[in-house]
Amino acid sequence: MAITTLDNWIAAYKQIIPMTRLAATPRTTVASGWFTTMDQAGQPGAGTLAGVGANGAVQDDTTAGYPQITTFAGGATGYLSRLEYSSTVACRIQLFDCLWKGGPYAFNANQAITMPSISARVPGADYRGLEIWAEQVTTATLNQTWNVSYNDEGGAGGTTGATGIGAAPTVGRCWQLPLAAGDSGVTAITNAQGGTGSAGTTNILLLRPLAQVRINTANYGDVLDMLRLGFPQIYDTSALMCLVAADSTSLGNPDITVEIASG
Amino acid sequence: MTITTLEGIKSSQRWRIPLRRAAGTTIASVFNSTITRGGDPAAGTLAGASTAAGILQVDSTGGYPTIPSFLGGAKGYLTGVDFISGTQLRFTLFDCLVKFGAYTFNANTAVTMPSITSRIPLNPAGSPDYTGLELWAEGVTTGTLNQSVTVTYNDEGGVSGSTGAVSAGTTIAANRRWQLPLAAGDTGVSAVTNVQGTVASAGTFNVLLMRPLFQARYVLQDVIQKWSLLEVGMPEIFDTSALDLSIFCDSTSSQQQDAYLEICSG
Repeated sequence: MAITTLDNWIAAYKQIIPMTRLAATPRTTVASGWFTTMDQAGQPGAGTLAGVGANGAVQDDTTAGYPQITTFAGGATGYLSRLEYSSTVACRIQLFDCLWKGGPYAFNANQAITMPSISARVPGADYRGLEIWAEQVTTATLNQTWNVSYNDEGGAGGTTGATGIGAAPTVGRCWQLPLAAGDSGVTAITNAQGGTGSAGTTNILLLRPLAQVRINTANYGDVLDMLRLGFPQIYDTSALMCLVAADSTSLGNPDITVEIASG
Repeated sequence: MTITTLEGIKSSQRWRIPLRRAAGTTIASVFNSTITRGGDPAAGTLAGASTAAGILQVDSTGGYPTIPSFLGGAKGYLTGVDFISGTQLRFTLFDCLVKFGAYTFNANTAVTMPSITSRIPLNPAGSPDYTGLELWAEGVTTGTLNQSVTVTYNDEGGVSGSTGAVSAGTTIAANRRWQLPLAAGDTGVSAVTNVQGTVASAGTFNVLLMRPLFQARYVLQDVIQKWSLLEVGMPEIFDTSALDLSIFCDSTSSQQQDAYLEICSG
């Protein structure tokens, strides 16, 4: 089944998923740099930053740090249909479905990767739009870079090239590794190679972007309905995670509620 | 019955329920209860009336707006919100299910809670859906030190869990609220079984079990903002629901809030 009409949405089972961070002292960040929230206290509880090994693991809603999603009725399809958001600091927030996490890889790793299948979490087997990110697990030195090899949306090999942030990443820092020119997606990650740094460990993430919003000033917020969100498909195993780029040096406490309609 | 179409909404019974709060001082940048502030409905009582069991909150309890009875078999939904305020703020609208308290700062009280199943929407399998219910603490009288509260509960599947000690971050004051996040892996609450206060040496507090319905940011004072059914999401409401307005003001405020809640039933 699928939700194809407004009446379908009205009749759908809608579950409200909290993604509220309540850290007494939110993580210290670098202004305008992306940082993860998945290991911060709140509802759901904090998860573990470090990945589970070189080949990584598919992330799902039962993995600590991601909100749990009630199983959809048999044959139903789920959608992100509403987003309530605010934060205690001015920032940008991106919402992703975290498909896979590999690592933590040492600063100088050159690690071949055999990634588990993510096909159950890619709508219509359309791998376009998937993004590769680095996520710092322990503090780095120097301008830590990562060069990730992957198979693109059609299965052809590609590489991100060595990409850093121009400084030593601190714990929780995330940065995107752009795909090679002409590539628009990722079916598999095959190798991760660190460069420049002399300490620290890093995860590599494969993410499906769902929404991005802006908090103009501290405590600002808004509600986006399905028309403004584009009604992206969600699975009842999706690992929903937020990255935050704060205007200043505190991650703040984002307060996000996700509505998932399934029918 | 259930409303499943836009035509069903058009032909349903609909009411605009006022939720107006008179001016009253709030604490900036934290959530505050508004139940003791007069208006429409009239002010209610902050202190809970039972520490050992808690009291099921209903629309006829003082401080909550009255909801017309639905026709037999009809279901109700929140389909729209109008809001105006004299100050910029965030707000959350809850269905307040049970209020426990008021507890002394060092209470350690076993709780046998009244049934809440009549106020819990059903999941697709036809069972009460306890996921999404939240636990909050609420200051009743001024305390000392950094009041911490631990609530032991049964989760959405009936398995025991604990919030751990969650501090208010400062001394508590009347109406100040802070959320008690559930243990990792828990997504809801089917019962509260114990409440414990620590650290503080004075003051009293309530614990609230609430179902969040809608939250939003009110961006510009004295402007009316409206949210339609697409933005509100049509959460299910009962004709006994205790609709609770919790506000998070940008600054200390003495301004009023004035809301209309559109409820449809069919």
